[in-house]
Amino acid sequence: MRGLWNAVKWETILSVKENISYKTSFYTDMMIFVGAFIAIYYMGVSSVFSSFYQVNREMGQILVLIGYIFWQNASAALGASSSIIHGELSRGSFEIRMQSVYRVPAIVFAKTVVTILIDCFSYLFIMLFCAVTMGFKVENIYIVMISVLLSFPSILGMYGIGLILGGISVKQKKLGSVVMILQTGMLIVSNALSPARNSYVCLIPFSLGIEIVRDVYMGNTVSIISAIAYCVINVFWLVIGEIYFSNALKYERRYGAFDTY
Amino acid sequence: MIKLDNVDKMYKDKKVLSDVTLTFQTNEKKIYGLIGPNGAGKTSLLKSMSGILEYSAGQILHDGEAVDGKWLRKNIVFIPTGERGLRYRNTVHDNVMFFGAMKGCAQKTLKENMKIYAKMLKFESFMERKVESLSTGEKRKAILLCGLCTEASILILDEPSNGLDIDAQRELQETLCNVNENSCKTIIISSHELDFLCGIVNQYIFIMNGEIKKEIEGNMEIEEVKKIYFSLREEAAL
Repeated sequence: MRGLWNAVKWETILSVKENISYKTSFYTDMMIFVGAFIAIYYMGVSSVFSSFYQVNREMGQILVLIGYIFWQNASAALGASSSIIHGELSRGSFEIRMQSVYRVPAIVFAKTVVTILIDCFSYLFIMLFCAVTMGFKVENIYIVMISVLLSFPSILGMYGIGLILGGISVKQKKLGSVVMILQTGMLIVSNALSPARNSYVCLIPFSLGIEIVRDVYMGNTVSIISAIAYCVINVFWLVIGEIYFSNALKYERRYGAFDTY
Repeated sequence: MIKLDNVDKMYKDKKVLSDVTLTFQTNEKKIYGLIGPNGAGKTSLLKSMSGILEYSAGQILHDGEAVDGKWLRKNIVFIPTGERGLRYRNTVHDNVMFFGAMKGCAQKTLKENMKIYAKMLKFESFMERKVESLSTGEKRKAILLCGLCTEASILILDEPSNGLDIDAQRELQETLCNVNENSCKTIIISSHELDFLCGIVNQYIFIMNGEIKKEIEGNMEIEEVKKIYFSLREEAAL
């Protein structure tokens, strides 16, 4: 256990230093995340939410922000995990991870978390935008923090889906536009679909989390069943992802190679 | 002692190693040279030994006891050709700590080994430099240092002299001899460059078409090695 902690610690240290050094990547990520939120804002989604949830315009805007935070974290978890694996496979540097005595997903998760935490800086810019355009109140910062905290289970679930894509990368070597399609689809889901109207939407890792935080914000009672279901669904995706990825690695160890792409 | 006992390895539906039986002595200051043409199975053999890949049949034994992939990954280090294993935006020190941590090495041991081997490789002044700022030869030393600082008793180097100029090759030869002399690590080198191998190897292993054809103990001149290699090639072709 101590050894695994040590490996995760050093992965975190190196990832933080790497991310800080890639300044252009940081700025473009900020632009994309803030830009996506601004696009949603000007599409008038908040008025749809206001009428669906029967709240005023200002509250509708915060409900959009809640969905957006979950989308961003989920998108970052999906993108980071699959791109870390895919990127290292294409460079041939994934082979070094295959020499690890610890399970690869545990160490890659540390790198994913670092990416997500750095992307959280975008919330500062989003809150600034909200303060200028919609009179975002300081007391609403608490809902941003609750959204970030409660999105953690969905980060695990999306990481699991990322491992499935990573496993596909290991076997098939190319993912094409799958990640982008999934991220775009998730953006639509987080803003257009609700588990209350479409029960299959619950299977998406963050959808129940969004409903829970929206209930907290609107002062509604949070359903215990929803909270349990939210955790169970995300653990399910994490376990499925781990199993698929581990099997893909096992197969590739036996019949393939990690240095050819 | 590490023994490969009738090891087979498949790559997709093709057999790349067939009935490989080899013994590597540990704690004996040996440098093994693995020689064979392209596609002979050198890299597949070395990666199967280091636990990166899984062999399809046979077993690997340590002092008579069968070992699994996790044991191989902890006790054998594979240094790939080039510098693919290094993280360019991080320092040499950070790369060593990360690599060692992944191999299950305790932090205290890593720091002690880093002092010893950085001095042996005359690399102390490079430890806080980012890998991207190093020359090709320096990067090669950096990745070698990563491997040395772990607790692994066997160090495998795949084409370590690739891309190095003559001076850098000579320096690497001296470094490997120095390491072999002053540490308990067994070194296995796979290379096409006989100039590089013949200066340092004291046991030769010839592999052709996934089979071990010959093992010769002792130092040999380049011409002697070439003669044996070409005669084995002819036999394999027939």
